[in-house]
Amino acid sequence: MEILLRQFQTKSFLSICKCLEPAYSHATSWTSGNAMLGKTLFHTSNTVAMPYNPPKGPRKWPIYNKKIFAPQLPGEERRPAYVCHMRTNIKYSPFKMWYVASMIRGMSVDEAIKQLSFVNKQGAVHVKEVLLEAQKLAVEKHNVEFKSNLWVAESFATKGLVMKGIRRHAKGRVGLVHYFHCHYFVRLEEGSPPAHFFFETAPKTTKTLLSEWVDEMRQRRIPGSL
Amino acid sequence: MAGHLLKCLTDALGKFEYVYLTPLLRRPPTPQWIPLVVQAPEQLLEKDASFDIKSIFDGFLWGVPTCRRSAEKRMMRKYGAPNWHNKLILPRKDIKTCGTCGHNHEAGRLCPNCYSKVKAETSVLQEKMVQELGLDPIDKEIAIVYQGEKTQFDDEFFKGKRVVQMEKPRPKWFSKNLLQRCGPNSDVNSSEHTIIKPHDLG
Repeated sequence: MEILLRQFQTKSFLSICKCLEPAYSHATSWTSGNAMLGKTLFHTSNTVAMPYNPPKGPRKWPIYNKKIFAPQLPGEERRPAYVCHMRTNIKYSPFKMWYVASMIRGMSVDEAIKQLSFVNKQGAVHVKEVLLEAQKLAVEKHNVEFKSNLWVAESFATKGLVMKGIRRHAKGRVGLVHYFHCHYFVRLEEGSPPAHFFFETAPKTTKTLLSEWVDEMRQRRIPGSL
Repeated sequence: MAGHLLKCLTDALGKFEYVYLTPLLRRPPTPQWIPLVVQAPEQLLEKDASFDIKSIFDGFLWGVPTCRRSAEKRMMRKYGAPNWHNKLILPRKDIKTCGTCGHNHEAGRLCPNCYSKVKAETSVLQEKMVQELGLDPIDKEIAIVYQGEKTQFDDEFFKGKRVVQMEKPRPKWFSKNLLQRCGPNSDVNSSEHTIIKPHDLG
């Protein structure tokens, strides 16, 4: 019951009702006898002028925004709000976009936007726009109170469309030219950024330093011994 | 592909020679395209004794890698070295916030947001100057007077100056004090300099 009530908080009444409807299948419509308008087996629209174009590009990243978590226990720490946003098929190489995406990991949104304004790369323009869009979405749709109270939890780029072309070389030889596109993904989380996002670059505490030193000392062996 | 081209060229050259040069020379050429069959087998062996398999790469297949790139080379290429040639984009520490408008700018440079306003106003002034004074050579000083400021200046101020009257009010950031001349030899306590109060700055 509580789960149902909790759903009301996150989803609208209409969407809940749609979820509770029985799954529609073509078999049921055929056997029902009454052909409902818009749910017939034969086409009612023009399939030649408006052919079916299957969706291209990544689609799973924004689905994380729709994830509904189980209700939290009374003593549990409040789960921070997050927003996943992406931009697909940016005309930029993913190998170059990696540098821009990796720079802003673990930064607060304001700092990231400020730094990106002064990065002399084409990809930085796209990343900045995506961050601003994500910030807006977080405030409007994901229950984030302050737009500055966000930090970049995940930021990465993947390979998109690759168009191949030909170029000439000397002595009649040919070379392939690759025109790369990339997809850029970002996840903003509510709260202040962590002190050290990368474990490796964080300064080691005296406790860890001591334990490491002790381990090194214990690993020593006398060569040629039994 | 290059080999095929070469073969075509040599065939074409041979044909050209056969068709055009032989009638001139009045004697048929030696059949150069017939391979020399009579050759001592020892000579052949001697010739091939010093054959190196790698000679097939000379001059033709140069542009290919011969060794696999090591992990160190790959890492250096992608990430660089921190105190050497750093390929990672590091966050900049020389970004300042403008006190006037709040936009960010590089340290040691003008705020682009403020400067764009100044630039816009300058272009408006220049257009007005061209409109009123034309493109005559500048021999006199120009006095720019904004809306509601004519009364503040006396006629002596406009003596020997060309006046440009602006229909708009003075921008808030355009200080009146800019019109006061102050050179390296000027004395601060002289009567020419008037103390301008903050609210008159603009």
